[in-house]
Amino acid sequence: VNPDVAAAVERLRGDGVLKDLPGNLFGRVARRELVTVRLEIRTALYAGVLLVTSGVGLFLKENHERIGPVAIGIAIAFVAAACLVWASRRSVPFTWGETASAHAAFDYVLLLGALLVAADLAYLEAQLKLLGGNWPWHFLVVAVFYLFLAYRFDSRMLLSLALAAFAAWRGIAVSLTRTSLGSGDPARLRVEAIFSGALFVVLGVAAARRQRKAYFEDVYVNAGLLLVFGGLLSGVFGGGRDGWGAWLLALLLVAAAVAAAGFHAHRTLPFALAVVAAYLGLLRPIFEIRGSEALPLLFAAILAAAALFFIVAAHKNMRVP
Amino acid sequence: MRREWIAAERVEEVRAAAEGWKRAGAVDLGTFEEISRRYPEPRPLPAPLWRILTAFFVTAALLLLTGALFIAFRPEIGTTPLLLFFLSAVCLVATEVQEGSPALALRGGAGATSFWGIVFFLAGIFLFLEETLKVREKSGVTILVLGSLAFWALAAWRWGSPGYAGFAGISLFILLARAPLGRLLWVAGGVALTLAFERVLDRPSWSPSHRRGAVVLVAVGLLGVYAGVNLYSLDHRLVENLGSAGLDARDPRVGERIASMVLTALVPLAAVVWGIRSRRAFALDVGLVLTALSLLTLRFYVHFAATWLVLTLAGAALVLLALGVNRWLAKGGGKERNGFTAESLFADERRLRAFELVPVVAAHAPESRPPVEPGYQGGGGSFGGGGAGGSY
Repeated sequence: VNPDVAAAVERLRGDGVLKDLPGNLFGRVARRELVTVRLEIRTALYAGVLLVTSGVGLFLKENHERIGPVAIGIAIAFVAAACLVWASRRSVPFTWGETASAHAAFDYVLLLGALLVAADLAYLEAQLKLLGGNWPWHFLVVAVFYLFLAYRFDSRMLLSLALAAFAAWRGIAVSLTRTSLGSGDPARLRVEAIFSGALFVVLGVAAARRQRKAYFEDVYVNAGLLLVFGGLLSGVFGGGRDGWGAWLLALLLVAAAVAAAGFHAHRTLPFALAVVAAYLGLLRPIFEIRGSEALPLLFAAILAAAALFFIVAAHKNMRVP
Repeated sequence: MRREWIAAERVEEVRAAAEGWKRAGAVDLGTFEEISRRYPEPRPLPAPLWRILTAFFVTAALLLLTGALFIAFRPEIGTTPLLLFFLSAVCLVATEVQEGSPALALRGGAGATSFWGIVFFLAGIFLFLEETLKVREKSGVTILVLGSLAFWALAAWRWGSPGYAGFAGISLFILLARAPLGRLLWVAGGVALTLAFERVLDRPSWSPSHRRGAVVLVAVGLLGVYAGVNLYSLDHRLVENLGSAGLDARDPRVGERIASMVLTALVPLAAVVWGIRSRRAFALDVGLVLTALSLLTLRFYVHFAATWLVLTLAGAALVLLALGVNRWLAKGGGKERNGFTAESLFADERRLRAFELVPVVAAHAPESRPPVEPGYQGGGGSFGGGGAGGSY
């Protein structure tokens, strides 16, 4: 029970602000006479998908030699197809606008189908070596497949995975559980991250401007900015003793541009990413200060306080919640 | 909490509910504006991201300044507690100032300064006991935990943070674990905590944040009871280890193990039944989490099938159960049964979906391709790349 809301609903109904029908529903919810379990159902569905994909993964690991790649490939493809056909039958016709999920399980069955197809592809590629030395291209195939499903079924979840698969194709691991910039030549990966990120940002802005799944903009832009700032910060901190100044300058210019754009467009996350990235980048010259050991820490604290005043002032002027 | 803070919180509750009604299209703009006019915003409430950003920079400034002070003054070990108490006092005064200012109260800075104020104070107590008073380690830790319980509880009461109530609850259980018969005290303490705070969950005289703190304490109480009775916890002396008595603890008797087995099954069930009967979603959630833990415990002791089969069947069962419940609720009159519905009501569905992206990408994003080595001829590499999430 939320007694404050329940009392307010009664007062608003008594004053005629709320009509009887919605007022009654609001009152029931506030008095806990009606409780939603949507979150619990969605969590159970997602956990179920996670368990099934983990189980299938383990099964492949333990049995792929005994059963053979073709049989396994066909079996997974069959289950994946069943999921995708189920999703296809329950989906609304394609539109460039936003659509509501037709079914509570829709997002998760679609995710399961997409993940199984990707797993099947990766498995068959590993076993049959279809692409030979060019096997990393299967990341691109997976990215395009995810992207197609994301647009067809209006799934931001699959769009995120499509961007992650594209980044993986360029050698960058986006997953939180792995290294942020993958392994290999850091200089090359830095450039890959910056260009991939810039591409995502451009795609996001284009989606919004052309009203083609405009609400995908957030996913594109935020993923892109993470990669761009990650690449630039990697240059500032990993670019060697001589080259970091140029990286820092580039970082500050990009951060200023993104912060200004975020401020004018009332976009909180890009603004926040820009401020944090600029702060982290500026720590490099501060910790280059020689002499007193306490001085860099003091300057870093003063910089944090300055950033604090900046974001409080920005928030007041941005007029966003 | 001051009276004006509580009054502000009550208005904020109504405004948050009205936001949900507007978002769901249940009220038109005119009605929403009339509600907003009747319940004007008492304090600016920035979106969560702004609060996190503010808390991040306050934390950075505080910790860096603390580091600079320690390096600059290099205090003796005996005077370090004084410096920590001074920093704690500064943080706590800063918290009071922010909480007292409607413009600053909800920006995230007050949460950061209060948290670090208590952490500095507890660190000061610890060093004071260990280095100045030379209290024996065991007694010192017990006093520290007691202090932790008292200060988190006071902070929760003063500033209304449910998180601090949770820290107080955890401190209570650590303290109980250090006592003789710690496991029994966990069960008794958990039951007492649950019953005591269950009574105030809906009490109108309590402020909204105190009621949320009570929810956290009831959940902590239930988890404490479960940890006390769980068979894995009993066999591995988890509670006793927490109280540093694990090595001295005797093996559990047969009767204790049987009781533990029964209670490992019954406590989650009781929580689920209570959640359903009282229509408290949080109790239901706790019950479901405990049920999952009990199934894991069962799996630990009974290997009735290969792991892959258990995972796949459990996943499929979970999906089917969720679909079944969804369908059952949707087919009820008004899409509800016994006061439960699968409709989103007035929750911010879009925000929930945005949050879903993080675990999905974290769990399923492919590994990057490996660097190309000179003379490398390919050959398929390892699979798991296409979002399969690792190796098979």
